[in-house]
Amino acid sequence: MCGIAGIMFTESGSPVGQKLYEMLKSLQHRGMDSAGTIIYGAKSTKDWLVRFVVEDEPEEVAKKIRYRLNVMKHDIKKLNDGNFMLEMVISGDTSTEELKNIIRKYSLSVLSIGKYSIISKDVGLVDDVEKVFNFSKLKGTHGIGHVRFSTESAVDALHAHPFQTFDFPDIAIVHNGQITNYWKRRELLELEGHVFQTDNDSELIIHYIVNKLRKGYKLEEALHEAVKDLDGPFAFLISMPEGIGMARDRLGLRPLVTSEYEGVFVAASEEVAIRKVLPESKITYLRPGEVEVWRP
Amino acid sequence: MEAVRIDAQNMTPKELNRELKEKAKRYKKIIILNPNAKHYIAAGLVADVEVEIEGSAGYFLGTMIHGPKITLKGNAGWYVGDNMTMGEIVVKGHAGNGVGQYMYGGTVVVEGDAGDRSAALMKNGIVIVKGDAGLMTGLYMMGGKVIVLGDLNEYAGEMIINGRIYIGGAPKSLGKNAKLEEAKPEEVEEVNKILRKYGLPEKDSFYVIVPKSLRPVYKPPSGTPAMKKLLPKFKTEFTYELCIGCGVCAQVCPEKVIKMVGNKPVAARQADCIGCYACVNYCPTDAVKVFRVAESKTNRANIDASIYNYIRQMASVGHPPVVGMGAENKYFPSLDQLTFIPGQTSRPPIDSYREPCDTEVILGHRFAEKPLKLKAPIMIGAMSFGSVSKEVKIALAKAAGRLGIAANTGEGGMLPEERKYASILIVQYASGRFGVSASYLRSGDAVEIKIGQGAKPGMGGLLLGEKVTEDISKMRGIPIGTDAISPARHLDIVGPEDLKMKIEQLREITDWKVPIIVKYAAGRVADDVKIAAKAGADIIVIDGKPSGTGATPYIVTEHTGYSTMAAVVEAHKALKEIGLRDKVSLVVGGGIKTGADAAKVLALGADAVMIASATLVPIGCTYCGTCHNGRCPYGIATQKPELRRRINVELAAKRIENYLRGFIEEMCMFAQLAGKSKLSNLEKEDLRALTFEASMLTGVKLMGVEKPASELMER
Ligand SMILES: Cc1cc2nc3c(=O)[nH]c(=O)nc-3n(C[C@H](O)[C@H](O)[C@H](O)COP(=O)(O)O)c2cc1C
Ligand code: SF4
Ligand code: SF4
Repeated sequence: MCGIAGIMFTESGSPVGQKLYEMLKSLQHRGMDSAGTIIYGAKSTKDWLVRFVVEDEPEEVAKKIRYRLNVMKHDIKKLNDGNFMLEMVISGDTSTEELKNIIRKYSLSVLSIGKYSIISKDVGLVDDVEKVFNFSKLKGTHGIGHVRFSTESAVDALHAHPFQTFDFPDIAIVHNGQITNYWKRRELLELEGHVFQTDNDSELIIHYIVNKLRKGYKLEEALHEAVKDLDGPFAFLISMPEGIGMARDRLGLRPLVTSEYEGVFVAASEEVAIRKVLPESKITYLRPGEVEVWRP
Repeated sequence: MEAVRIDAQNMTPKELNRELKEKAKRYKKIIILNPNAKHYIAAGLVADVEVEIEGSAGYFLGTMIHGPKITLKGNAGWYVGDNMTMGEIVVKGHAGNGVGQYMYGGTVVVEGDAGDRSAALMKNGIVIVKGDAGLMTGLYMMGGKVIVLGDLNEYAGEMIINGRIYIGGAPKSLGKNAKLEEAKPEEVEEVNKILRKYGLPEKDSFYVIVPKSLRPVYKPPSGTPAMKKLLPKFKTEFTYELCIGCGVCAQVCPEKVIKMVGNKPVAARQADCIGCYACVNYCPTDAVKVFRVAESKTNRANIDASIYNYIRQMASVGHPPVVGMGAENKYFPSLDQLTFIPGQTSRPPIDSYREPCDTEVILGHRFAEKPLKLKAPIMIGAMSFGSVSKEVKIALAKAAGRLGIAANTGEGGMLPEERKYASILIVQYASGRFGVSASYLRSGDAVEIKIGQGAKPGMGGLLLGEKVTEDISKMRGIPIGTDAISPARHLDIVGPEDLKMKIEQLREITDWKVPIIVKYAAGRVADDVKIAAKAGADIIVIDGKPSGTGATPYIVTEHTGYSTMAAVVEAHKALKEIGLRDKVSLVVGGGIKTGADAAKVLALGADAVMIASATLVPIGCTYCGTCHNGRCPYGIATQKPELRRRINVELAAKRIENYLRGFIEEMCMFAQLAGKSKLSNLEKEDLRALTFEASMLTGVKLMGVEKPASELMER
């Protein structure tokens, strides 16, 4: 499924949002169900920024959360999929565990959670998502984005990419393809205590990578392991505050091209998107089974 | 020479290609400015023209061109020169995956590096890469030449069955069936001559990758003597009082079951009998009878004859044996579990002998300029030339033409007669792309992208070497006697966005005129249907179980699949869910034999039905299943002239026509007795389910309860 794009600058305050917007627009033909971005370095890292998806009565939900957590401010927007988005700035003193407990207690749906990053995503074309979130205005260091052509799961804001699981704030993935040994791998990870929020195969990749990182693997190594262990066609970008990692399946069934010029790194499903940022630079093709990591 | 410029900056691929086509009529050279990595540039361009592209191109540059010389200054995306038949493409930069895949002729030159799977399923022509080439270069290659001056990545020449891959550097590893040799001096000279023509550096020596075997998959067995079949499934009996000792039965028996002892026929190898009834059919005095021995099983363990003999056969040949026709599997739910209920006084029935019944249907009106207007909601399912004989293809086309229903080329190319006789002809575009070119696609009234077929879901088409005669070899572009094995998936359709691009590519080739059909084997029906609809299909065909085939591994056809009855309901629902039910036409098939089956499928939500194997019965088919090896005793699934002679084409056409006329009348009877004057008005409410199972699968009300079974479960 889909088109993916990623960009990294060496300096903070770079036009990550604007460039991702342009790249995703040029990949629009690869998916028109939904779109989204995650952008790093666009907010102060002092506090949490959390975006919930709420079906109705968002003010009521806000009240409930405010009662339990130290919320600095909140804001409500209507999403294209008919739900509401409740955006909250929550004190950075709140521990991840406290946040997770509240999310579980009220069965909240989380669209974005992080101290370093902001996810904007919804159903519709890139421009429809831009209208709701204005993500193109966000400046920062790096980010990844996605246009989705849905395959086997629901079409709503929550299922749009970048995909994140609230267990691991600030980590997100954009993914083109399917993992065909999903249930096998999921069982193994569940045995090690991972809790899955959805049946989405993108979530599996996050759990898989985090699992390896926690065991002391470097991101490159974790990605190599993923290529060995995950079956099916895929190309994905995984983003975290420390940078962006990417991988392609062993048979190279899903595309990914990259390019670099004067400290600007870009990756995308197709060269068209790269050309929106770097009109002249040399294109490199990530080989089947190859992985790459960028760190700012 | 007069040149003209086109600034592609603000053009869509469709506009650019229309402009190119126009300009190619008047100019000898066209320069495209600002191509901006657009997809499908020059798709299907048939012209003797030079095209210079000042920048990079996206996917499918020069796909299916016939004639032009294209020079690209920048990089090319995936699938440059895909399926081209004549002309030249020179890429100055690098190229992505699938360079020259499915090519039939012409030359593609990449001056930089090429991605993976270059020249995959190439049938003829030349692919040259100055730099390195990626994984699986020459995958399933079937002919032509590949010249790579640099190195090859892993699995070079994977499953190559014909053609040659010349390498200036070295391969990292060879694929299955690939063998590395030193090129002979005369070959080196020939290669250097080609390189000289494109100003590329020459070399003193080359390695060359060639196939080890012509038939790497279905090699004839060697070494192990075959085990006999032992448990008989049929019993052949002779009435000697009637027998005149002519020996016809022994002569026509495809399995050599019958032996003449003097003037007396005897069933010598009874266990080999496949129940084709050729002996019965051709005996001039009705002296032969064949019965099914239903209880034939092993003494203990209750293994039935089919499986027992199958294991012995596999022990002989060492790979899963292949059969033709549908599965024996008895467990798939049958449409017989549904019945029509009549109109009486609550609603009056319509008289089927005297009152009219509308049967016309329009399919594919979503995007196509020329949708299919069928006189009756029937499409004849794809049966390729190769799997069936020319006589069958012509008879089917004639019958379809006279009835105003759709015929289908199948995946082995088009016979000119087929086009001549069929008023509506669907051209199939399958993963092997046999016989595919721009002109092939343009001569169809619709293009059907075959993703899968019900009898062998998740596997590609299969035509065993026994049936690849000279005619077939020419049409498909493969050597005589090789197996034509289509890949399980189109090499360029791996995900939904690829299907969308494929549909756009085919629309570019056919100039947005004809409907694009996507044919699926029923599986994850709802997901797949939604994907095809969103990808822009005009018509979706679902092929459920039980379903016919020309050749399939026995074990696959027995143990895969999804019920036709359940599939139609799910597909209909899926289209409703995404609000495209009125836009996208739904055609469902698999196991439809009579107008009753068809009317039920229409009532469950289809706009038309697809029938394939049942249309062979009027030509004589007895569902014996020996279609795969070319021994069909009725001249249907064979290419042997002596067997084909058994078909009288005109008579066969007439009988198919009669059968289908009756079939249409049957459908109308059900519509009319249910009180409808149009076939398209059949609905679920006209049906009742006889079993709980059928009601659960379809949501049809369970007889006697007047509620769908699912509602009973909820309580
Ligand atoms: C002899 C034969 C050849 C076939 N060849 C093709 C083919 O080339 N392409 C394809 O999509 N399906 C092929 N099929 C499958 C039919 O198009 C159709 O999907 C299936 O037979 C429908 O089931 P039915 O035979 O029960 O009507 C073939 C079937 C038969 C019996
Ligand atoms: S039914 Fe067919 S296979 Fe059996 S004996 Fe007669 S001709 Fe031979
Ligand atoms: S087509 Fe011929 S070989 Fe195939 S089942 Fe029918 S009669 Fe038998």
